[in-house]
Amino acid sequence: MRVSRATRLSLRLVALGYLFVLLAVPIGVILWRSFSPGLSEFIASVSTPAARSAINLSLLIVVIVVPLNVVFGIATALALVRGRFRGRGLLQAVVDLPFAVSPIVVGVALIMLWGAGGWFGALDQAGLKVIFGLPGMVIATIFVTLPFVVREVEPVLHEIGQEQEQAASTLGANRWQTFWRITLPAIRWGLTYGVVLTVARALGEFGAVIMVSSGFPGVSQTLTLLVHSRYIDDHNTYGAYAAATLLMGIALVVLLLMTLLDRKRSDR
Amino acid sequence: MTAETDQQRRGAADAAPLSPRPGSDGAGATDAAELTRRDGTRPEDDRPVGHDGHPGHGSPEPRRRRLPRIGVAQPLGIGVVTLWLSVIVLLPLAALTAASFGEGLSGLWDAVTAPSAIAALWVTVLVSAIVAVVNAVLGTLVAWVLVRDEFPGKRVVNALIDLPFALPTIVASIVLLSLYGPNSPIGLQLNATRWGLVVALLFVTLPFVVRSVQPVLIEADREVEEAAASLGASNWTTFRRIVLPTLAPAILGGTGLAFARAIGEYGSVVLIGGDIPRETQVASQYIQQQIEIDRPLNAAAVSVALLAIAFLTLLLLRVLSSRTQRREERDV
Repeated sequence: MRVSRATRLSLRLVALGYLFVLLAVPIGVILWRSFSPGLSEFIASVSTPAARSAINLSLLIVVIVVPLNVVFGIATALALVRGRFRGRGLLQAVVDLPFAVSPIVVGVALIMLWGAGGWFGALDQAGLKVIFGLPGMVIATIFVTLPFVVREVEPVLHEIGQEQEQAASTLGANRWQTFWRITLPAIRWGLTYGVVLTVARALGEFGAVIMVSSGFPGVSQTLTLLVHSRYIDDHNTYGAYAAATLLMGIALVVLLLMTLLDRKRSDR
Repeated sequence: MTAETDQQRRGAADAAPLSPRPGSDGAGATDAAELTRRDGTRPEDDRPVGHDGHPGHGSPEPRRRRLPRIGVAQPLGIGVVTLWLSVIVLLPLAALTAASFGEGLSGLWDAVTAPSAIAALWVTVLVSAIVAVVNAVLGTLVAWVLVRDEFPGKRVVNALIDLPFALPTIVASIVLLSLYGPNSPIGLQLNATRWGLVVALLFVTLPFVVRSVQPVLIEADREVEEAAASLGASNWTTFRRIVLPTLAPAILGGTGLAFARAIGEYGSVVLIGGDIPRETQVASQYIQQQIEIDRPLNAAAVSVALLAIAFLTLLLLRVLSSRTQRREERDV
């Protein structure tokens, strides 16, 4: 299609104008609002006791969720790629399920299962508080991040096939040696990409976590809940902007990592 | 299959580890790859049949013993994985569904058709449909400009497209409020209006259509377009008759995903939406409110309705895409 210069310029104008209004301007405005009172003000706002504990809680959730997702994600991907068993197609569908479920629905479903009146309500009565406690927030985060590692590792496993692993095992390597020396190095970039996506989503999850958290400042507030409560409950608009800018900084680092890793992945 | 060839192939399997990259070259390595497939441990192998043209029937039983399965693809591993997925994903959803039927089918029906629930579902579907249509048009346009146009800073713009996926949804909400909210610097107040919902959802669903159309547009055969142009077709005709049919499945796929995402969105609309019942309250906000006022049955029922809409959308997409795929195969 040979487009005249005028058409091309006007199409470019519309596309860039749309992105400018939708993405660039709002982000510019929030950066300006966060930093115009000065950097010291910004730092003070994101290092109040409540903010510190929110950062710690968010990081704690990430530290718990990532290893679990890595271990079970690789196991699931291996089972899906290498396994021959009934119900494999069903398992595939279940892995994709979290993408189709609204975060709020995740929260309600977890309440129906782990809450005081739910199927596992006995745990709650026995004193193990899942809902409105840390375990609930961790489980909610695992639910929404479950597909990432599986879906990034699976295609790599397909691609590398099994020849090298079989070679290793015929040379006398046991399963662990084969896994550590052959499989893991082969899937490392796909796995890293999956972990980056998991970290980003775990730090940013809001809907599912707010449903299962008691939301007390300084106790059970993650960084995203802090943004929400500062804006809604405290009417501390500047504090909300500052905390959101902090989260946005993390998101930008993630985006940078994603772009770099994507190049590395496709180099393979 | 003679015993002799069987012997040879066993020999090949043992020889394979010696070559630096099994399966890449060499007769023994190729044969080893063949073996793997006969063994049935590789799900899909599109390699051509080996050079010696073995017919596709091996004797898989002894090989399964010779080449042990690796990693967790064994009954125990599969059991653990199934248990994990069940506890994390399936059991909660099962408990949710059971809870929605707590007062029988009529209870579920009453909860979903309660006026405020219906209103929330209607607002959700209406706004998501608008967002899907805008995405289909402008997402395709953005993809076209990013592929076919050249301008300084294109790579930065391209990287920026992914930002809404990386950004936490509550941050998206705050970001949009800082521009379109109370004391907006441009005097445009969208807070607590349906337009506010639309803008928030457009923000979070931006990458879907762009990222699904882009690769198709890169791969698209431009010679056909040029042929059409040289035969006297106007740009518009070329676009309508050549480009659009090629892109249609990708546009549809991206639009469907954007719609499914918009249906369940919560974080990005919670601040800018205003949560006004029958006006800007979306289904996810209604569910959250019902939990807060301790009406778990209502919350579960509308959750199930929301799930049903999302699944129907994704099912429809799958059916449509497999149909176009079949049509393409037939045309080839």
